[in-house]
Amino acid sequence: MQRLRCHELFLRHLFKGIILKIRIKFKKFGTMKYIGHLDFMRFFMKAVRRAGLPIKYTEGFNPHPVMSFALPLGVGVTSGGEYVDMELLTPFDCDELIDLLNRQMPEGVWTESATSLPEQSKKAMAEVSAADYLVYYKRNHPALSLAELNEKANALFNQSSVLVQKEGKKGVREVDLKPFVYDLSIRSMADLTDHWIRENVLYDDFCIDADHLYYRMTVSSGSNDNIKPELVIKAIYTYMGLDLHAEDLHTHRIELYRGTYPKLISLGVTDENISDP
Amino acid sequence: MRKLFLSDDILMRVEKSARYIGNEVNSVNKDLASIDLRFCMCFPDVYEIGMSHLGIQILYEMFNRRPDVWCERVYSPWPDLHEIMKEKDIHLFALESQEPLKNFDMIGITLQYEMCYTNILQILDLSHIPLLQTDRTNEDPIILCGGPCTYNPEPIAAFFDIVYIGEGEESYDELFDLYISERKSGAYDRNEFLHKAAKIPGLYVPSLYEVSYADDGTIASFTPKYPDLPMTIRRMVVTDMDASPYPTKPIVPYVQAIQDRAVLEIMRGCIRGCRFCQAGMIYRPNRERSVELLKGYAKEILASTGYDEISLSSLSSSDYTQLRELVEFLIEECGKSKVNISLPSLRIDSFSLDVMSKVQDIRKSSVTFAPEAGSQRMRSVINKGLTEEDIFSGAQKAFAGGWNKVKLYFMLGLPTETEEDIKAIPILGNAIAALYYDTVPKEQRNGKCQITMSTSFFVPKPFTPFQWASMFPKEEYLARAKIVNDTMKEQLNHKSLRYQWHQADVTILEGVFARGDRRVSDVILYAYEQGCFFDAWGEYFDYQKWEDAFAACGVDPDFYIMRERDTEEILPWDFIDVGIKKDFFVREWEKAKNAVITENCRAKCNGCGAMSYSCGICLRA
Repeated sequence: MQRLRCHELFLRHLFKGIILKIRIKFKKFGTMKYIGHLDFMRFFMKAVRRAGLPIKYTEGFNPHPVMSFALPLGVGVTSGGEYVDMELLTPFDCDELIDLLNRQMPEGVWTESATSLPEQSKKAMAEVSAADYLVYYKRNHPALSLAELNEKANALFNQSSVLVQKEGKKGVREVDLKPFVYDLSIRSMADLTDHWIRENVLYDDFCIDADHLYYRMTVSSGSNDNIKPELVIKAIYTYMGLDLHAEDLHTHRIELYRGTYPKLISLGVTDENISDP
Repeated sequence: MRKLFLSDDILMRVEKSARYIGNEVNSVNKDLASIDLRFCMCFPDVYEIGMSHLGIQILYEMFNRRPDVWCERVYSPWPDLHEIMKEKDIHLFALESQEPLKNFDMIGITLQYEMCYTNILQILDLSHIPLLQTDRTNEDPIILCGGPCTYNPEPIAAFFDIVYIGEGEESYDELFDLYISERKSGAYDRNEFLHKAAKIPGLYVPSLYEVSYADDGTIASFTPKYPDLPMTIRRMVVTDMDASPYPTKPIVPYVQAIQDRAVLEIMRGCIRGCRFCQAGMIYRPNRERSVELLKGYAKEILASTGYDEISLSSLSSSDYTQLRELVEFLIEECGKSKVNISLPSLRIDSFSLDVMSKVQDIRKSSVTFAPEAGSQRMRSVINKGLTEEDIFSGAQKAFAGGWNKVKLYFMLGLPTETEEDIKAIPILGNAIAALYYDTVPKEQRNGKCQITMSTSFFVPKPFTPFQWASMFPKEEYLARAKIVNDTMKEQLNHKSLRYQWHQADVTILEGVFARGDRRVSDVILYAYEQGCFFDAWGEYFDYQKWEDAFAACGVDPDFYIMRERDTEEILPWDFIDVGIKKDFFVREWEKAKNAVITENCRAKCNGCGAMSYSCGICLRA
């Protein structure tokens, strides 16, 4: 046993220079949206093991893969822009890695790309600063016109502050949404051209017509000032004197970002990529 | 895109909706066009419990190897979903195809513990299948059951078409062949099929047997309705463990199961012959899987599932003859692939402590002993071989190795138990604590030691030497637990002792179900109709409703609990030939009363009758 540990230490020393950090981008949709965050992390780790990737594990009696998911996704929320960081012990071709992983994935999870990260880069979880969301109605589509709703939303966010009650771990507190909602627009379903979203997110048994509307927003996200899109829509409803039933909405996360608004950079784009001409 | 049976609306309203979506890694989907028989395997409890059950995984693998059979799964919908399904009249569905159970040919329900009996009715009710066997028609699936509770199927006989007695690997193929040929004949008749099925070895069709009762309430006769039916049903046994199917690609749930790890079944049956233990009798003879095969299975399962933990399954892993080789292999192999080894409760000795120190954090883990009874006399009554010297020497080695937490498991309410036997439990706990303070020098101690004693109340089970024993009133069980607790507080080292005991209501009900007869089924049906289900869950168990059900049905629970049976009495389960002779149980019952022990199967054959299966330990002893 002792000898085994020494051997491991030696190997680790040898490979010290070339432990590779990678960031994987994946989509979560279809029936996989019902898997909660903790269960999904366990599922993903098992998939990584089945794929046989040479990934780094933690020390101790219960070693587990060194993995960092960018931002938990709530049950029922779909996403086209999820990220997880891993560390590899040996160099590995990114395309092959994606291919091996996808072979282990059921319908509803699709790994899209892997990018190698600079050694000193922060964990995905620590980097997230903003997210793009698309929210549409599963039912009880509002009787308001697009123009009316846009007008109300603009009026609300033209105020000096947008105060809402936010439920957190320490109970309900009042938050000003204004500085954290970077972009908000309300559009017609007919204008939604993203083919993948149309095929994989709007597929459900919900009634969606071309003249229905949807919300598109960029909000502050991550460990500080994490804004859920439903909170923004609720603020608009409250402003109009209406009640919002959050269960009427479906939320789809489009992308995660790092950096500070307005200079948001996709979590999948590394600094090296940016400096590339 | 995969379609689900439940709407998004409902799935978003219920807790852990991933329980109902299926499509787990390694689950099997088939093209219905090539399927002659649709089987739905059911564990009548919540998904996380059911998915932890190895038996279903074995049969799922075996059934799905047949190209003409598609085996799917269903578990009990949690009460939140149950309520919605009742309110909106939504049918219960199978996970794989997401289609109603009513479309299936057969539904097989595994019965692992008595407290799931009302959940059988929940499954049938939500599936819109008549609860009583007699009300079913050709349009209804065949409802089967298997598992340890079927060794007395009489309390639930009214709900089942077929009861499978013994290990599932043996007779299902014959049953499937029969069903498929009956269906293909074009003139399928349910009753005719059941009559033919009743002649397949191991299959009991309750509706084809009649019971009459004597004036004192005991059984007067148990007879087949037709002369071509067998008088007894013989338990089915796998004679070659290495040749039997094993799931090397088990289904990996999304929702974390209770058993969230790879499982290696290293052997079946037990050589020990503890007199309270039904499993130790009904899985005889003890049969091992070869270590080379297990090594291969371990690698295959880990590769196909991605599990980061592996565990061994058997009734007494320390008795597996190749344990050292297997464990050393796993430590080596799992060390490479960063897989944790979760050790089953091993007998505490130098070997197991050495292994534990390699795979667990000593400071956090504990060593476990199951003396089952506090006094040596009582341990002789129950034939538990573990002696005080074994416990002390094991504990001393564990203390020397750095452990300071010890768990002890006991039973209360055993036959012949006296106050002295009860008090012996905390006295033993105290002695182990004293051993710690006497043998571990102060400077080497990691604080106080922690001795945790747990007691469960003993429920006599069919096909054990205690099958004739009387139980006790509910108050008596609690009084015995109080004696343990009070005596513990008087001990010198009481600050190092902890004691946990169970509620007694459930024990009474288990006692009635375990040794009840056909008349008990009325009570179960009535209780379900009054809202009893998930009785194994403390938050849903309502003893008052059960007391009302007994009263309403005119069934006296004391008839089943508060009565020592005569060994001549016809017991409800006597029609089952479990492969162990009644003589043996009678002998063991007498020896128990005189506190005489019986040697284990490896030391000496005691002529129990299991030799008739010609396999396992019976051939080697």
